[in-house]
Amino acid sequence: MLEILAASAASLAASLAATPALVRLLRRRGVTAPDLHKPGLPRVASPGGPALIAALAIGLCCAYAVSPDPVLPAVLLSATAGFAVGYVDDRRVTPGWFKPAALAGAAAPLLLMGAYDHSLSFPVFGAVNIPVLYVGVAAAAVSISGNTVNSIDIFNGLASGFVAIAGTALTAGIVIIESAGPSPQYGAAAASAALTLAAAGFYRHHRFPSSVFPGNSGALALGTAYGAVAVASGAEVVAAVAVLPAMLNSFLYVASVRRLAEHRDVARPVRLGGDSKLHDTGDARAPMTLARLMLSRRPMGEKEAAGAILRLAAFSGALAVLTALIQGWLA
Amino acid sequence: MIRLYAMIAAMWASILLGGGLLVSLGPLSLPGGALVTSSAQAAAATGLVAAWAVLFYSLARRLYGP
Repeated sequence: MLEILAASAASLAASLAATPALVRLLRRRGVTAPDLHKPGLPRVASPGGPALIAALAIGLCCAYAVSPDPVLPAVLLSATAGFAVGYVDDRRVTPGWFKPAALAGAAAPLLLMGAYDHSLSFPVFGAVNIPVLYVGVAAAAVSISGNTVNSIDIFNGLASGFVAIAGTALTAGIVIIESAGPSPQYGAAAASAALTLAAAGFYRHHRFPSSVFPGNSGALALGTAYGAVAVASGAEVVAAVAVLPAMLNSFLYVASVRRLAEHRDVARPVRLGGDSKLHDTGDARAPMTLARLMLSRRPMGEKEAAGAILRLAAFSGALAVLTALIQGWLA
Repeated sequence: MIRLYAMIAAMWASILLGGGLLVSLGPLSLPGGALVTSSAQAAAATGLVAAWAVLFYSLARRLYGP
């Protein structure tokens, strides 16, 4: 359990220190992006991915110093691969298929280092052993997780806040499941804690009104790290439940667009109104998204809309912890 | 928002039950090879996920309109 504390403290401290330093550097160099949901489109420092991956790396290294679990470097390598894919996407325009395909490769460190168990555990019903299929499951889990977090990065504070909440639930879930087993291993829980606190530290500067955006590099680093922890921990179902609102958002998007397309290539589902609130555009060509479902009822301010999605995340996080309790203690 | 909470809860329940179906298919798999076992379960899992996606996409459209 000491590795969880080490990962948490180091990751939070590094995130709180690195993020404002990166914001100053990006502003000085004029590396910014427009905040599309505010009047006048103010420029915000972006991408914040380097601060996130640095904080995660420091947290994971501190946990490894306390308890050298091979899960920790495997998660770091996967997250770094996700960060690299995102960084490429931050610097140049890539086709819609690029990120899902490239992120599937981010699962390679987990598979090559053997940081996974090829059975899939379900609450109540037990585990299914899928030695060959699990390779595909792991690649899909990391790729889908990365893209899912990236697709929820639509409002100030949402991606980092969402991962902080889901990560808290996943960390608790892993601890619950491991502590119910015969020989608890907390390496994956430490990796999850490092991710959670890196996101929480970043959230302080990403929340409304943002002084930094994570960019594709930050969102994909968070998402691939989350997917990697899910695979390495064997708590895949718990991890999936914790991000259900983001998964709902992703599959509504893909199902309505009917192809893998970047947001810039499709009609916008949400617009900023003259009342400074966000409105559903009503454009039949625009994809269906979680935000659009919410705004179709009534316009909301950006802070209110982000808060509503974060409350949904807290709800699904509670369901994830309940899933872990069923899986760990009631099975 | 209540509908979204209900949809998330329904997704959670469907994942647990769908997973149970997947697990229960295990004993039906052919013996003698992981690849065979995996292929049978891959087909079952793909079918379940596709049905799941269609169900919730249809539900969302029904609840919130086109």
